[in-house]
Amino acid sequence: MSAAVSPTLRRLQRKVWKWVIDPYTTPPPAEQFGPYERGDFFRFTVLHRSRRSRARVGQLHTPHGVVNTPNFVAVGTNAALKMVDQPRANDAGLELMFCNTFHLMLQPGADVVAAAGGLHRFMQRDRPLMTDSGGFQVFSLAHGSVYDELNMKTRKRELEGRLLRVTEDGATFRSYVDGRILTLTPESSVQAQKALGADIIIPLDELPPYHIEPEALRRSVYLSHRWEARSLQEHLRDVRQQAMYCVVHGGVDESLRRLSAEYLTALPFDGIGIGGSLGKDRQELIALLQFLMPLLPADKPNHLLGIADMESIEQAVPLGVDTFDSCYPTRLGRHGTLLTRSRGRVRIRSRQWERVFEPVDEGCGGFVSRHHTLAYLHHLWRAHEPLAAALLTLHNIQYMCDEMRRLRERILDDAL
Amino acid sequence: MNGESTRFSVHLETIAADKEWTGARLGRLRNGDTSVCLWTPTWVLPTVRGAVPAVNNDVVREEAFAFANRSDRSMATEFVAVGDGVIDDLCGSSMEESWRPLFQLGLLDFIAMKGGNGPNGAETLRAATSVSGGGAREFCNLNGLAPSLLLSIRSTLCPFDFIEDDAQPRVLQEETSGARCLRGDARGTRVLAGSESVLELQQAARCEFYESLYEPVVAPPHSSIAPTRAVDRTIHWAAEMLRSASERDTPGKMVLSVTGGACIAERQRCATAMMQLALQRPRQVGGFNVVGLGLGNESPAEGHAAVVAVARQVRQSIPHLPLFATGGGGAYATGSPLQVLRLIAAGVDVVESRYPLVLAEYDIALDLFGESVENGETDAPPYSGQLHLRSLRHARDARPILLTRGDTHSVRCCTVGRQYSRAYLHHLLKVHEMLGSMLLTLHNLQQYCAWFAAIRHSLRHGGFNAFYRRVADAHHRSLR
Repeated sequence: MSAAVSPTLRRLQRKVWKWVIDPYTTPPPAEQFGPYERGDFFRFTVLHRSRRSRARVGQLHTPHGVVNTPNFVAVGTNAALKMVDQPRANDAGLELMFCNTFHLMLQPGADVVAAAGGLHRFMQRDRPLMTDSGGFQVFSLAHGSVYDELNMKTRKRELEGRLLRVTEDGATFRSYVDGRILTLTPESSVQAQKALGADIIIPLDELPPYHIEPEALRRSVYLSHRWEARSLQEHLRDVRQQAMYCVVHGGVDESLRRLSAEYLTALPFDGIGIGGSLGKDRQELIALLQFLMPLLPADKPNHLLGIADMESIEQAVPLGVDTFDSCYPTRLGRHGTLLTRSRGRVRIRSRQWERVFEPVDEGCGGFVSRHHTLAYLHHLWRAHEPLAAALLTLHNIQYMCDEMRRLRERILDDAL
Repeated sequence: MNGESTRFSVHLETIAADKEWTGARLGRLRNGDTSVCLWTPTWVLPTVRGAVPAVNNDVVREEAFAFANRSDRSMATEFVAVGDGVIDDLCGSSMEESWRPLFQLGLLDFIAMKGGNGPNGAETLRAATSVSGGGAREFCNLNGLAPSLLLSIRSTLCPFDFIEDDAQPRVLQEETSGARCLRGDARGTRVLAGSESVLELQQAARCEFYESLYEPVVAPPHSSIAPTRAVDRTIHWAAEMLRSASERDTPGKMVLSVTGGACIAERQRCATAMMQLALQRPRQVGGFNVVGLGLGNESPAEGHAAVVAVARQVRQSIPHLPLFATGGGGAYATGSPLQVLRLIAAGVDVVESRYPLVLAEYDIALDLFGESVENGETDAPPYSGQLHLRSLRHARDARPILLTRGDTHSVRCCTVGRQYSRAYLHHLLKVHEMLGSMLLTLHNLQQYCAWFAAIRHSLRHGGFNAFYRRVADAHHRSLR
């Protein structure tokens, strides 16, 4: 099944790549990888498809448990959710969690996590985990946040000297922890993710900015394909009960998206990630998904990278998206905003909550709603108590899990 | 005077006393108004606005005090297994409940809600819990967590105090009532706390114990300024509060504050007056409190002498009421293990200590039983009872904090320290993840609970002196 390339040949390839590689070089053909063979450690089953849309309810079976889809994936960048421990997250219904390989490689180091027995044992989590390749963080070293890039905010001075170069080999950057220079290649990214031991891993890709010349975008897509193919080759050498999702690129260019989807879905990946620049606003995102989702195979799970606000989720689920990850709900929480069904968004700092001795969210069964009132949270927030951020974050996780559960129920009822 | 014990609704029964340290005793404290029974010596856990710093109260309830090995019958001499739990057969309470500390609510944390005009905390608490009448326990989500609440005049965790910038308290006359009040800083709002406002807050908070108002004595030992006026005011406030509490039918039991700084004579004078007040209104009194130790920077020996003098005086006359020690300053504020043992040896039954919380803030894990070093480990630093998790030596250490199972109390209580690896905690602290502080706080709370259980065990079985010597020796070795 694997298209083996010997280490010696790879070293020679890298030397040649530096000088003669054509940026439009096509990646290895799908035939080189062989057909997809479903492993017994990972499978995706579709339980119900809505009659009214492409929405579907399914289950991801992983070595560490089952994830119902559609679902929300909380991001714990440094192998921890901000001030929410695993038992609390489990009680809130969080089934799948996301950790950032880039940050964990720099601190504490993938080898430390491996010595601890993998990420699950390191952070004492007994449910499924997902790691990314580090490609997004490499993007942010060059461009800042997605918001900054979309709004053309330049942070050149701050970011100078961070990302040193991007070549065929990989991305070379300076560590923000200790300043040493590191190169992230498809192979090293996969090796780090192997050491971390998450259930679902992502190949290295290049994330181009939204504002980019069409030809540069095309070159980026080709580079991502070559990187993802190399990542897949590295993964297939030693699968270790991990599933690998590809990442479809192409920005908002439909032809590039089609090209990317056609190539990557032909390779033996276990699932499909939808990444790259997803448009400048929700309208562009949904238009992109409307075009792209029908091109993706129905028998594999898909994942929308970096988007998980409810407004987008509610429009994306009917298009067939299975999972969403974002730090948005938890970040909102620790910055003082609660997501609730009964009151919408609640800015806890506002004085209007000072004497509201009611649960945070009527009808919510989470323990923040059961045990605390808005007045108490307001009081803690005003007193600058860190506990406020913890409780708000936990509530928002509960909210997202509850909303995803409701979406699944609506799909099962053919109401979506 | 011993015959008076039946008039008091709070009763501390001495189960065992140490022969060498005659102040130290194992007691069983019952509050007649509640079903809760506590073992003493025990400790008071300071909170910040009713919350343990860095940790959600629900997490504290489920993780810090959910003791492991419930079916372990190795402690059958004290406990019996009943159903799924372990019942303290001498107490009638569950083991978890009888081992938990009292939770402290600081007066300045609640007397005025931020931004309000004047003391309005009572009003807020009443409005918050008007239906259930749960008071501060309900407002702060302490149900099922704190066996008893103590409303304290001063808290060692509260960054604001009645002691002003010039290191002196201010006693002012309130305009409307003319009553003498202490002026304090409630997080930016200056409030006057008099006996009536303390009672009003207690009426709304409904804590099981509350302190009588006192004037902290900050004059150094041998100062020309004798703390006479401070003591007089404290006695006056206590009398006023007892009278008013009786008229209002205020819930809870008052813990009478014995102030006087390092001046033993004044402390004893205050204690005498408080005992007389206690005998006049026995059903309202829940104990005595040696307050403000260390505020005048007295030496440990001077502070110890003051405590011993008060403890002996109180024990001679009213031995069945507990002796508290809260509101300390300087070395007494932190509550290091040796300091706590000294207080217990001097006769204190309930000690305020922020030690586990302060250490967690400095990224230090407690190891009070020497379980962090494996047999034969030669490169470990000398044992100090503390593990500095920020140290690089832990960056790659996949072992948990506690490696051995040297003490049954630690085995029973300490689950967090046996679950998470040093490398993970080091990583979390290094990247400033709040989860690191949270886990460390939980571990330290569990260690401290286990430690107090070990103290009580040593008193029960006559080993307190050896226990004290062990801790003192380890402390002196760590200083070398």
